[in-house]
Amino acid sequence: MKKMSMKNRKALFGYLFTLPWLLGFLAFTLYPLIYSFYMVFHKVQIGADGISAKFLGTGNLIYALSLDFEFLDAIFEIGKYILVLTPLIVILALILAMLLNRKLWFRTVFRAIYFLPVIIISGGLMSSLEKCGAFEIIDLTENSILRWMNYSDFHQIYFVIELLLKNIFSVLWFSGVQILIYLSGLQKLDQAAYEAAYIDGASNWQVFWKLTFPAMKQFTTLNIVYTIVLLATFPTSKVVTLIKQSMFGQGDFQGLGYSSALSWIYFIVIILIMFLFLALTGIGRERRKK
Amino acid sequence: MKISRKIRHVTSKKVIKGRIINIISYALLLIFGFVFIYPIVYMILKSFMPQGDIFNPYVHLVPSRFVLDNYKLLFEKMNVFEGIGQSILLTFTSAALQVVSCGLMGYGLSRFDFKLKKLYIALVVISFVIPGQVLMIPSYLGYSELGLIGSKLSFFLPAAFGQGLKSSIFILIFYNFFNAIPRVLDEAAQIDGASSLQIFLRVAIPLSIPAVILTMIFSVVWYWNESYLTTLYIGEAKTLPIQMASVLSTMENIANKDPNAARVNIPFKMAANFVTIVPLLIFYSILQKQFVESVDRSGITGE
Repeated sequence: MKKMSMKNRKALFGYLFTLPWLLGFLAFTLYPLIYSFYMVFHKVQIGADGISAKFLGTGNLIYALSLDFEFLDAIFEIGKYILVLTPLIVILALILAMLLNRKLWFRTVFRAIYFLPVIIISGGLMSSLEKCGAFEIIDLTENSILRWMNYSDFHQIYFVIELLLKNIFSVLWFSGVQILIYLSGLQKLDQAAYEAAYIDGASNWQVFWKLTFPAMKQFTTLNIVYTIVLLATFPTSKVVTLIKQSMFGQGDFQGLGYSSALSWIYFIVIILIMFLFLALTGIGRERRKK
Repeated sequence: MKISRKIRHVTSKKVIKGRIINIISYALLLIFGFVFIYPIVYMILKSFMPQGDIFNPYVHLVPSRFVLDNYKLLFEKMNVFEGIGQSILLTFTSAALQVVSCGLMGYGLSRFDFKLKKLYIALVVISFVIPGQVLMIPSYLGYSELGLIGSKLSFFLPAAFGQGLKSSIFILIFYNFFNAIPRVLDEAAQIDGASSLQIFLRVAIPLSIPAVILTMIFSVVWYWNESYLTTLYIGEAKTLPIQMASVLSTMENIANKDPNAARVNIPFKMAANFVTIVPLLIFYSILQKQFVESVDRSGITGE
């Protein structure tokens, strides 16, 4: 009898500790989410007598997906951007984390430098730096190999390299948190397994693929998700700007309802990209088995 | 004799290999490190550049002479000290509320078993993936109905209820962190007659300092740099990033008519950006050591 009440009391405490979050979730996440979904199918206007919503059906969605070329272009652009940059960022983060995890001279200095972007990165700073030319370190048009690639059959490769070089700073600066995540993962590795592997004569390369890489799988999943969310919701993204612009726009396909429709389309595209990556890495399936 | 030579041969080979790997590591770290801080160095150097240097073909990165003109102009156009005050007020209050609410949530999930626990964890993860843009519009309407547009409460309330900026990450950090603290400690305290609340206050909180420092730093940094939602919800709040954004956008409107003006503005823009991040740099340099250590100790993971 007493044990039972003890268990119940524990459960009660559990609900108590999580109560603030639950209230917040209902008020600041679930309610806006449902409200936003409702607005997708309406024309919403703020007038003198409050908010008025006129039912439109799928009108907003159809217009956005068939006639709003500015939005569609932006979606394709950011989709490409996320597809190319996400793997690069995650791989780079793993390499840098492994380097920073080594016993180095000036390790704290190196770490301080590499974590600095985590501290200062923001939409305003990124767009200012870009506009002022701080990110222009290599001039693409002056490189003859790249120019040749652009006009030859390697156009697709050129596209990737161009995207990478143009965004080299974004790739590096957006990788800060991911480096931290990998670093904290690397620190949890079992050193005894490494010693055993080296005694058995394993090379560094083998150790990486057989020990480090598998142990980093869950962190890789986490980093992929984090990177996609970061890239997609960063304020310099053109889609984000368009969504905000159309919020207060006047006219037929403008305003809060239309803006909600755009944000939901964007949301679904991001989710699809995320699933694509998780399916590609095969990590999603393996984790479910656990 | 033969064997020992072989061993020596193998070991010396290993030493050389180790050295090569070391050299490559340092080279990579230096190259990437340079690229990491290049934009910051660029920003700082340009911010001290006289405007005449912009059209001087011999000046690239380093100014011909260091001047404070840009900063003087900046202090005329922006109320820097008010901005710092407002930013600190908004940022630190939101961050403190967020850390407390996420800490409670993480502790609740980690230490107590209840029916809805798995659902809660799933919801925490899902809410991380929902883009802010989806929630922004209804939230804006909600705040305007409650009369909270223009008030800092539109930032404080979500933070206090575990729904601040990227709260899911903080909840998961705390959840992991508390999971790593052995339950034996709780049981010992329980045998000594401590209640769940006492265990939380006397055992969990003192142990959670590394996690608190880590989340506090991230929370402060993300709130400080957030200008997207700030302009929407509390446009009148004269925080540093907002003032900068408005000064720069007026300049850009002028510059749109005259391409040369855009280039002339570069030193000023860089000065404005630099001033906005200086408080963060100071904050970071104070807590840098704790930051790196708490990353080591708290493990920001999402298992």
